[in-house]
Amino acid sequence: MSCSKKLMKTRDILLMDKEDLEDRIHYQLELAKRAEEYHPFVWTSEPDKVLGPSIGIKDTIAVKGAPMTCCSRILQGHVPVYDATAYARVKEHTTLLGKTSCDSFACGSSGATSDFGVTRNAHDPLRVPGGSSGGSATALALGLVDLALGTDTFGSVRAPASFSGVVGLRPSYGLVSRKGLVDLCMSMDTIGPMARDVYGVAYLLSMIAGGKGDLTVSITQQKDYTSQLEKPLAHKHVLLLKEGFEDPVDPRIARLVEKEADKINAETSEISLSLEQVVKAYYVVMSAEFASSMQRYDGIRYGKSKDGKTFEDQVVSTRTQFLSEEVKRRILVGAAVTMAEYKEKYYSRAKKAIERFKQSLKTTLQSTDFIVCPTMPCVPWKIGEIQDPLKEYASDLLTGIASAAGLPAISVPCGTVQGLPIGLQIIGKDDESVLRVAREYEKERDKE
Amino acid sequence: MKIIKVCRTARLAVSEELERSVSRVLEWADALPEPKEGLGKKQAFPVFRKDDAFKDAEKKKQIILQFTSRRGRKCLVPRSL
Repeated sequence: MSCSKKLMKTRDILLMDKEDLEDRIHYQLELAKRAEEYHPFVWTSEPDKVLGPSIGIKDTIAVKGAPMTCCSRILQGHVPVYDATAYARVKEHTTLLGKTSCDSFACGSSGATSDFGVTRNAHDPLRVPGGSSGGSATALALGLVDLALGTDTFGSVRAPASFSGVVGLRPSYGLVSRKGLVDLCMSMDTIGPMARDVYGVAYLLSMIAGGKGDLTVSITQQKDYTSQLEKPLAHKHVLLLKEGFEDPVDPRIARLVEKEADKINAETSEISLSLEQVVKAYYVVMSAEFASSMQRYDGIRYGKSKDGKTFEDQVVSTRTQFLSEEVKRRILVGAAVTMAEYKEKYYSRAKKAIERFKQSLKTTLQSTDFIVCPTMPCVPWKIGEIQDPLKEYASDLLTGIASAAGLPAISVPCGTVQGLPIGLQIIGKDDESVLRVAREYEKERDKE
Repeated sequence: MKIIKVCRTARLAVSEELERSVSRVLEWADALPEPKEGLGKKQAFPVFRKDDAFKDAEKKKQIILQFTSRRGRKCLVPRSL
């Protein structure tokens, strides 16, 4: 059964209480058409009952019995035998509609480089949805799901949220269990909630955050993040990140976000950070960790396999044929920077740089509450427009701050440039206050 | 960089184009500063807060630069930052 037909069937169940049959059929057809055109799902489910709001799960998060390919051909046919902890927490309260598309193994900022078809931006189908959790963002923006789970390493929830005009949160590192998540860079990976508003994100975070039970879960207590959401924070100090409002950030985005930041009722001042160095340090560390975790994909234990004369030939031809160019590039960079003769030059230096950045940012946040800047430095680019990997890496300039420091950060839609959505990013010290100030901004924004 | 050795470690066979792009990424990442310089507290975090920067610079008898931020605020920053 095709993706759209399955989706139609699903929506039929979800809309059973709608009285007008004609309207219902029209609505279903419209949704199915959109799903086919924008390609937000790589697999859709056929739920037999409605348990709660509909949800899409990024294809790098394990769902028992549902295919998980990480949008890579090397994992085609792989079906996990257990649920990721984050999904296990939500499955009793939500209706799974499908696995959402992403960049292959979450390697990308465009969201359009899945091995199984290009996901498109809900606001302009010729443009990328943002990545790597692009399918989750597109499914939300098109109204196909109510909630979605993405993963954020260096901006993979916030970038698509910004490009697609939805809300996405990167929780504090360790708040949400990573069990059942396929690693990109395990020292920075987080599973993040996405929704069309801040309440949806807080609701989903309340289900997936905290608790104990396995090695990769935080030991913090579970908490209801919606209970205090409507209460504005009494006194707050906001720092505007200087680099977020100057070259290479699009001046139209800078002007819009600067104007919108005034709606956060706070005392403000500015800071300046060496962001380009952090992006470089991240790509070194991420590549090293990624190359290590990708060693397991040898065509024997998971997914597809190619024949070869020897075992080594078989592994090399499987990996060469079924991994995408960007995945191969990152594996090769990772293998290079961890070689004995280059370790000091790249990896050790990058680790130290990130550690110092983290400590300095924590010191800065002792005297302030939030850092505000645009989420992305540019509007969504056209599909296929950026071919140079370094240009794509540079788009992570502003999302990397929170990732490097392990801090929570949220992207909230704040307006449009050229008819394309723009996200305002709020970085803070704890998840609850970030959600509260985001909600406060959302209310101010909606007054207009 | 010996890409052939890297390919063996990574268990991949690569095209010339990919090899070139890997070299470019490594060259780009090579610009990371030595641990003792850059990205340290001083370079990474000049905090443009009028009160802190001013008091600190005054105490150390440093030259103070004055500028107006894009938001129209007067900022005082020690030249050393």
